[in-house]
Amino acid sequence: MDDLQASAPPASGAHGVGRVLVAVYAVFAVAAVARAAVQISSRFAEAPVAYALSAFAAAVYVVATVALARPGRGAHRLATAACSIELAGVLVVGTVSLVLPAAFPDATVWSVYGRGYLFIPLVLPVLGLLWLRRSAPADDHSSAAGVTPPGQPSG
Amino acid sequence: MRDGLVTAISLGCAVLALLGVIAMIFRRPLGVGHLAATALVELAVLVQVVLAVIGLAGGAEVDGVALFVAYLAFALVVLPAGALWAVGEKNRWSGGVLAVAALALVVTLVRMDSVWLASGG
Repeated sequence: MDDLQASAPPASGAHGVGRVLVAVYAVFAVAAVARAAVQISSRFAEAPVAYALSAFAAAVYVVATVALARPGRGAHRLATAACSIELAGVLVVGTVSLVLPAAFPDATVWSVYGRGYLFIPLVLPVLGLLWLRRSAPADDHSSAAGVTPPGQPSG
Repeated sequence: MRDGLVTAISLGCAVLALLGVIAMIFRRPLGVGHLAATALVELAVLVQVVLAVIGLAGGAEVDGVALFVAYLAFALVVLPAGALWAVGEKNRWSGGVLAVAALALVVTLVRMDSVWLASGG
């Protein structure tokens, strides 16, 4: 499965600047999981919606981290889905937390577009999707890139 | 929390992050010096974690023991894990990975410091 192309540049998976991206995602995955675990185990009744959302965000970060780190088309699709959900989540939750502050008595990672985390939660999925588009496996999303990578293996 | 030690570790992290970013900008892979510096900072982290655990056992007050222990665990593993991930593929981006790990450690230290209320008797 993993011995696709020995000489050509890797089509996907954690290579090059993608490894930096995976590192940032891993930090957020661990932070989000820890935060959600502490919130839910100690005071879930105080703000069940916010804490359930924290847990959901944590799961999305974990899936995104693993999928970004792994090679292959399936992982690429999964990573694209996770980053898209993440972007939608930070936009929706960020907007709702501004318009309806009462809905979130306690902060989540995505509150006010991730202000508590230097807005990294807002930037991260955009960088992730850009990276995924650039590192798309051959003959997947071919219309988006329109470029055939040189040096395909002759078999 | 020993303020002097926390400051020293934070400065060490800043140096690591700077070295990592410089390596990235100049397209250099990480060298033995980078890893030695990382190990040195990790040693200081280890001392801080041991001191914090002793403090906790001695009745120090923290705002949420579970959270504090989670910070301790993360602080302990983030540099070794980052260094391993950084050298997993040796190219210019290794420095970027090291910088991310170092900055994550600084943030963790700041959070740890903010939940550390008072040292016990």
